[in-house]
Amino acid sequence: MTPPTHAATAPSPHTAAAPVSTQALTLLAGDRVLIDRADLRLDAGQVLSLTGGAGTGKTLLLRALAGLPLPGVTLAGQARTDGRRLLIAQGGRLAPQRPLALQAADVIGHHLGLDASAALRRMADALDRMGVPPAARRFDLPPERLPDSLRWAALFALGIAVGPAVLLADAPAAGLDPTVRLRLLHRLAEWARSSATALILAGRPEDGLDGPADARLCLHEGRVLPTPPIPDPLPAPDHAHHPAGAAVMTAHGLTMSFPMGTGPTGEARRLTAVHSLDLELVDGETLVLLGESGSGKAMLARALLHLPAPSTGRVVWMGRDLTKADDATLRRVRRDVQPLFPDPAGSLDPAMTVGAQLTAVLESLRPDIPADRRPQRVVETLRAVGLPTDTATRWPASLRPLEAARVGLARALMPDPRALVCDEPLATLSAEDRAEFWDDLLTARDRRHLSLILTTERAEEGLRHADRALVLLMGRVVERGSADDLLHHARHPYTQAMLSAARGDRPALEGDPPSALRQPDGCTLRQRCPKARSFCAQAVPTLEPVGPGHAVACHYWDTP
Amino acid sequence: MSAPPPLPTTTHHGKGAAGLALLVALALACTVAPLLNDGAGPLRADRDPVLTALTDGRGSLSFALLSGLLGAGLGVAWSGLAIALGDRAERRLMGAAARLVALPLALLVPLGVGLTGGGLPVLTALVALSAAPLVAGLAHQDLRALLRRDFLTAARAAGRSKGALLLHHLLPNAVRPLLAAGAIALPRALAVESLASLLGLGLPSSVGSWGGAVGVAARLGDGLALVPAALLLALSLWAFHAVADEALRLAAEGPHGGPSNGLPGGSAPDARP
Amino acid sequence: MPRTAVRRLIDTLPATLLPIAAGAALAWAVAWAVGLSGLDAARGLLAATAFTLLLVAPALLLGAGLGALAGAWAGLPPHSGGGWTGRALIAAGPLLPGFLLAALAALAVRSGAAAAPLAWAALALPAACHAARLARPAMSAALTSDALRMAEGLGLDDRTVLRHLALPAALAPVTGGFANAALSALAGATAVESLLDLPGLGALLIDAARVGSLSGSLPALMALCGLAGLLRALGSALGGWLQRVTGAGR
Repeated sequence: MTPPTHAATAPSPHTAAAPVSTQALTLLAGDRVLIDRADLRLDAGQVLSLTGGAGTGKTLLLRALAGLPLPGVTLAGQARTDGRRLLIAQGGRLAPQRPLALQAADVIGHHLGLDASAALRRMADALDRMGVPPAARRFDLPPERLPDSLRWAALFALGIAVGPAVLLADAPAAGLDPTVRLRLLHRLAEWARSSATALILAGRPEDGLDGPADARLCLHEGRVLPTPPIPDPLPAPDHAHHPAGAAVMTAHGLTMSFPMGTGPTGEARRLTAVHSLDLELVDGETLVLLGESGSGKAMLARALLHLPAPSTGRVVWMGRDLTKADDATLRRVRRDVQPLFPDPAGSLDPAMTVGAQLTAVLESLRPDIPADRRPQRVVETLRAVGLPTDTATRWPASLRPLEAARVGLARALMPDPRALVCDEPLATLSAEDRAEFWDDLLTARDRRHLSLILTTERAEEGLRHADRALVLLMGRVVERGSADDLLHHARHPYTQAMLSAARGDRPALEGDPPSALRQPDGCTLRQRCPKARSFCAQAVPTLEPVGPGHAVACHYWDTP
Repeated sequence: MSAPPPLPTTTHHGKGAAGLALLVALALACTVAPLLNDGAGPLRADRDPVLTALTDGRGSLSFALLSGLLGAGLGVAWSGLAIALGDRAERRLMGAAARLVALPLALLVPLGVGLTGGGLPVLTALVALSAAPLVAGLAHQDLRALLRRDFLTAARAAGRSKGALLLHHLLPNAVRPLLAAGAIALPRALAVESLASLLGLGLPSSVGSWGGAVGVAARLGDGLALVPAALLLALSLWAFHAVADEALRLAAEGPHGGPSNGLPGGSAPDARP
Repeated sequence: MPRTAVRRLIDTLPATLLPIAAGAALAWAVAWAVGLSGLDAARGLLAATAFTLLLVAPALLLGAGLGALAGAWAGLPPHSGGGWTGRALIAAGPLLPGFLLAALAALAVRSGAAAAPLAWAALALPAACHAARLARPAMSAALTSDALRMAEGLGLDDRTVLRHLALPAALAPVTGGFANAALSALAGATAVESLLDLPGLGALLIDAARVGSLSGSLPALMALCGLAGLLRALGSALGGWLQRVTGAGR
């Protein structure tokens, strides 16, 4: 049996009846202990973040606090909540077909006994608090037709409108861009503090819930423990290895656009994801492409690999122009430049064993290696990325996410490439797996002297491992500079907002990114930007140098 | 205590296996039945009604298999052609399939037989054509979903030639979904042929079919002849449906326990007309 | 009448009334060409269309409605009488195509039973099986969905959840699959009319086909295609109405 746990108590300034308190709360699934004697105490107006990896029992703990049934789970100890409590469940799904306004009226009416119009007035006030502009409130629509960010904002507003004593949020705003997620969470936390609601934000450690919280707890091996202060888990950027070699890859005027059918007047419409972009990758450097989802970073990464080829512009690898390359030249370039995919498991052929897929890479890209030496190479590469050699005989469906990511890395390393183009290679991994895979990737980079292009929406994490960075906004570069410059002296409001979100702070951007189909004139950030003025609507800002190697595309970057 | 990795979903294949076993049993019984009839030719209602129904089953089952397979092949070829031609031709071909599926195609079979005077080749072609648009629509959906998957991009990044992509990556992964789409054609072929024969505009009476026997018995008010044929027909339809459902389930599971299309495996979508 | 409903009606015309009108016009032209009364022929076709519509639509609506409810019930724990009906319908579905039930109905009518209720039952039962088969998994999925957990968390009672979340989710695939059920019902109706000698479109088509008459069968076929479109439009209108009543209604 485990030794007695210490009381993992959120700091409580006074001893009046707390809205949430548990005593030795234990949750058992069969003979498995999910939560072991948790002692929690949360005061009115306090915001608590409760983090833990997948399957650590966060959802069950919240359901227990909400007094909801726990099928198949035995509860021991005490869980007590005072006053009205509300649980915003994981996924943020409401009845998909029923207009949001009616669902809001149901919930608010149920709790407060208000008629529909009074309930909706309350909801409107709550939406004001969440910063949803009246023009965006399409609540006559069913939730499934609303953008995710608006759906989450509406859910939080629903919580605010009911005004419970205890609000529990399970994986709140998960899946949104960090800038949008942190803005919503900070607004919710502010409301909780001002209205004396006890708020628990539960989620994965990588979701940035600690930022808006006053108290931080984590679930580890069934215990509720105080979250240790982050000891900077990422190694400091290694600027000793800052390369100054020749450019190996250059891209000029790269544009990616797609036909979108015909417009109302019969003209062919195109959606442009990347606007005439220039890029240079120096031998041995790590270049990170930062941007929210929809910024065009993934499209750019694929265009660099000619998967598919860009609509216009050209990519040159070591003097070879890919636009004019024949099959043999393209294969030669593919031997040098290999991709990592955002979903490693999905990038493996489910009908081939891992070994067969790795061998196939050698077969087509390294015909110089004799067939009898291929198995040996496969084994060596698997070992190099930390996988046991019997992985070669396994089917992709049996791989765990980290293993799949490593197999993806092994496949990319098979032909002995000189550069990797990695598109969000850690997107499917949990926090612990991310740290391990970063290790693998950086080890491979340093051992093999690889150049890396890496796309990510996690600004801080990306910059810490990079030499240089491009910040992309709706297909255009808005800031360019060394990783150090961007990390400490970011000039563009968009870069600053991404860094704030990564640090758990409240980003200064308001509202949601505009749709790619209806981009505003001028600067595409102006509707969200705190520095926006009327001139921003008139001209798309161009990159102007603000320091050595540091350029910004903002009309007012130098105004406070 | 970290959660164990999610176990691969285990699905029961009982219904599909039962359907297949039933089909085999029916096929065997129908093959053996004429021998039990003293080796005489096709026998009619004056003899044992069960044996007569079993004898009729030879025609129904073998014809359903023949025309069903032909319809499945046609449908798969239709979708394959659409994808190979690409773009506008693809939209037109699949649009045509979708419009055809919305029409009462089953009634074209008795109509065509009546107008052309019948004959096995005409009937086979008509039944196959009535099943093909549905198969084409399903197969097209599956193939498009497959073509969007990242492992094909990864294979291209690995420098694989177009031939290797098709042969080593696309085909092995397409087999299950295409078989599942094609399997829909089997119960449909049996049902459509039975309807046409019941209306007297299907298989010639010399071949014998359950639909025809049921139709004649219903007109004559002969319950004794109707029940065995109707029962055997219903059982065969159930068995064909069970096999087709099982094929859909297997396709959703993906090869080697992996979910196909990146979606969690398990439940088969309902695509039965 | 709301403008959207009018627009929807106009949208469906090319696939519904137009083929029926074209069929009637063709029947008129064919009769006129051989020196018969064109008006009588067109009127005959329209009467047959109306007959088939009266035969199919009530059976289809009743069957699909009851089947959907039984199927939804079968997806609700714990097992109950209604649930077992749903399960039985789902299991029997593939065993009971409309034309086979039509043959059984014909047999019963030959031995003295009334034709109309049996004909309707022969068409309603397969529709019910089809609807139950679609409704049950949708209901089960809705009861384990994130949306249900959200409704629980927001404190809504079971009745509200069932009415506004689970039932619309269970009915949605049924209205989506109504077009397929309508096609099966038309095939079944053809068998019913042909075996029971009823004056519908199916019988008209098959009688013309038996004598190898293209000019006789083509108008009937066109009218049948129009009828299929009409039933499909009816299904989608019904789906929209149901969604308003269960999903959006108070």
